[in-house]
Amino acid sequence: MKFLKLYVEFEGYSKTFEFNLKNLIFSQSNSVGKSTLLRLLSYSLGYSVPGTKKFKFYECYTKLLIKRKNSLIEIERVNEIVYLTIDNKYHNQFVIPQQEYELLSIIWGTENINTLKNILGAIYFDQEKGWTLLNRGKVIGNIKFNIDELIRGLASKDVSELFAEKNVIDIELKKYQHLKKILEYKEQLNEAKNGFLFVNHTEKLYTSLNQKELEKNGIEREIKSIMEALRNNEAFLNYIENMRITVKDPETLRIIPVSKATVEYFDENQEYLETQLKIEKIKMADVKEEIELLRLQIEEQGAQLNLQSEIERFNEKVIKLEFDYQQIDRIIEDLKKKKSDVDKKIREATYSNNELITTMKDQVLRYIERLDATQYIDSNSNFLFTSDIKSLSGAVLHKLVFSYKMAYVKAIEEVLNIKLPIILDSPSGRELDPINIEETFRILEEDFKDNQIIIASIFKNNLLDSTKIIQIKNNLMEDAELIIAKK
Amino acid sequence: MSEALNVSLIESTYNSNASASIFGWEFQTNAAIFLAFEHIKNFTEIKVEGQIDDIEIYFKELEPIFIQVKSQESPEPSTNTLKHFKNGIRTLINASEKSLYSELIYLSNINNPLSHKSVAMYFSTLSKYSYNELPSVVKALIDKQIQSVIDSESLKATKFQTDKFSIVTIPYFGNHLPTRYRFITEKINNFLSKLDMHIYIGEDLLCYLQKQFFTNATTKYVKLKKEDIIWPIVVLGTLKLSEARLDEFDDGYAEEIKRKYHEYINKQSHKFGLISKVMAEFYEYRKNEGHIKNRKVLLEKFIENKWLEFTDEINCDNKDIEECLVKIIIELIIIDRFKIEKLKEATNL
Repeated sequence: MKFLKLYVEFEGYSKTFEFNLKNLIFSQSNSVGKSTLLRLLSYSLGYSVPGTKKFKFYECYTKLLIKRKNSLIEIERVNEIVYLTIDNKYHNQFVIPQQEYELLSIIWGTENINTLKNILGAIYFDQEKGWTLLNRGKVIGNIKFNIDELIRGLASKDVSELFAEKNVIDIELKKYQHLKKILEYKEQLNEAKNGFLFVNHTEKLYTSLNQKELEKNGIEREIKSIMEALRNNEAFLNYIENMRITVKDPETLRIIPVSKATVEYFDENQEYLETQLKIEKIKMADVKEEIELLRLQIEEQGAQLNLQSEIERFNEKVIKLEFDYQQIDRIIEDLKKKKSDVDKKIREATYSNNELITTMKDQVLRYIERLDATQYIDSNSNFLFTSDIKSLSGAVLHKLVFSYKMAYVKAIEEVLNIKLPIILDSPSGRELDPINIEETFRILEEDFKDNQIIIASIFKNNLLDSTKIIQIKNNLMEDAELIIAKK
Repeated sequence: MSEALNVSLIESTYNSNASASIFGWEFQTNAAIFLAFEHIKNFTEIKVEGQIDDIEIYFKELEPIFIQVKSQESPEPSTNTLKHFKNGIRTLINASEKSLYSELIYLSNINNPLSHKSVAMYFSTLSKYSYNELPSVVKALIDKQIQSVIDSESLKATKFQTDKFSIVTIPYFGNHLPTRYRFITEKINNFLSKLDMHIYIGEDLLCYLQKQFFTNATTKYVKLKKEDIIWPIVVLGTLKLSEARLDEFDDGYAEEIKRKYHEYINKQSHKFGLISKVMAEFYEYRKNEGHIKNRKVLLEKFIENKWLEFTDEINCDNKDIEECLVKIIIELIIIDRFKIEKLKEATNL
């Protein structure tokens, strides 16, 4: 695939950039728009690449002409709308980013999402991130590169089921982790206030009310039993009185009728019971008053409940949660383990593409050797997937990144069966010594003879054969034409 | 007619703005209880808000005592203190015209009811001083007040005898009720302890009397008879009888018995037939065991030897605790009779 021509309209001016097989976008000084032009190329292809402050891509109209195999593809872009014309025939219209991969699949000739996602990361060296992005990370804007994805894509390995599984576990895990946090919060509440303040006040009132009702029932029974005793005694004496019994005092010979008035203990016993009855009735009155008061408070509380702050209500509910913290913790551990099992399966699916990986590794090793950096890599290890790049110095990382990416390009080309353009932003502005820069160029010259190469640099000393120099003096749109009448 | 300080007091207790008059009524009723115990041996009836005065105490062989009650929430004398006194004197003069009397009393909670520095020390605590005992400067002050009432309202005061007039103060203030009631409670407890009765029922007794006769009363006019005071003492004392007999059971079981059989015990011990039988048996036993002088020992021996004779009567379905329950019931019956006798003796009932 080659970029042939880029037509740009911006702020009422238009300009066309034409590209050969080898190109150098050159300027004497920095910050004139070289990088912007490189980014604009990606943007006009249909990628979601951000512009700069001075040059807002979404205010541009771009028309990019590329050649893929024997087809001429014209891509017109106005902000999020892309019109595609193939061999002078209108093909389709796309909305970016929603239909980004649909568009890219036509441009790159593959429908494999994982591959499509990772092509730009392989061919494009951003001036900032591009030279440190080895196998995983940000290419530009929000476009990411991931070696695992690329390899699965190139090998047409579908692990979407595993990813779906992982997703389910993730969602589950998050729920339990939230629950765990809430339980920890509950613990805090308990510790802070010993739970006291948060116990529902109304419930406490209900408990007191129940106790008072019980007390009331007790008193009621007591009253009943005292009244019964009073009645029984009365009835007993009535019975005796009705028998009209009399007794005679042997000393005075007085005849005494047996009656309530003369029977010993009767009156005082009844008095006793009457008093007891009064005491119980006072108790009853007290309890009833207390019950009434509690009922009133409960009513008021009910009204107040609506005025309670949301957080208090939340706290009350949290306090009532009955979960076994240890159990939740165990579930979380289980889910984590499941997740790591799925991760392992995904990795295994990726690593099982031995042929592809071996080819890629060999390619990387070849370039590294040429750049004299073999000592930094354990050729027996799974170095393609390494995540340990922090220990590497800037110059070494630069060499590795170049080697890896060139290997990616080779691997992608193998599968897609096309030549990829390679875009290098400021390859010389790094910590590489001149020998290594020369070697870089030699690799490009020898191994990527048929690839389109677009380099942006302030140096002109390293040039590939028959390089077209696109010079920018002051700004990208210099010497642009005024658009007189818009279509 | 009684003086109008506490007019419509009962009605006003339903009015939340009437706290001052509630306080006045409360003091008046507590003073009545205090006086009941003061005269427990001889009084027959105490009237509160009667026909003649705030408190009227009646006796069998003595003319009644009329008492004018005045109170302030703060015990310190104020600008109203002398006005209170003057009003009190007016009512007492009226009372003296209406009925024979043995004493006329001006009773208050003000720690210097005449608001005069020469008698400040006389009344700062529970006290009663008759007119004759007071220093002449105070006598003059009282005379002046009496004269001023007579003059301003052209009253006849032929029967008001200063030598039958006294001033009583009962300290009664503070929001803490035990503090406010302390002299009343003390009076009751003194009586109970003289009778060798449990004094811990003092507060309960006061609370009962306050509620039964005053707080829950539907009319302001209250008549307090001696029996009204005696019976609660018997009953309250019984209700709090410690269940020493349950000691042989472990605590948990004892609690359960108490809870479960409290009503049963109460009912059985007031079955008239049973009381008669128990007392008859007990007197019989006492006659035969005349050599045992200690009543406690006698009671214990009686219960030990005779409890089986009451099992049919008491008829307890739980045979495990039958002995214990029967003994408790017999003991209660007899002790109550002792108590009643003692109280009757102490109060001339």
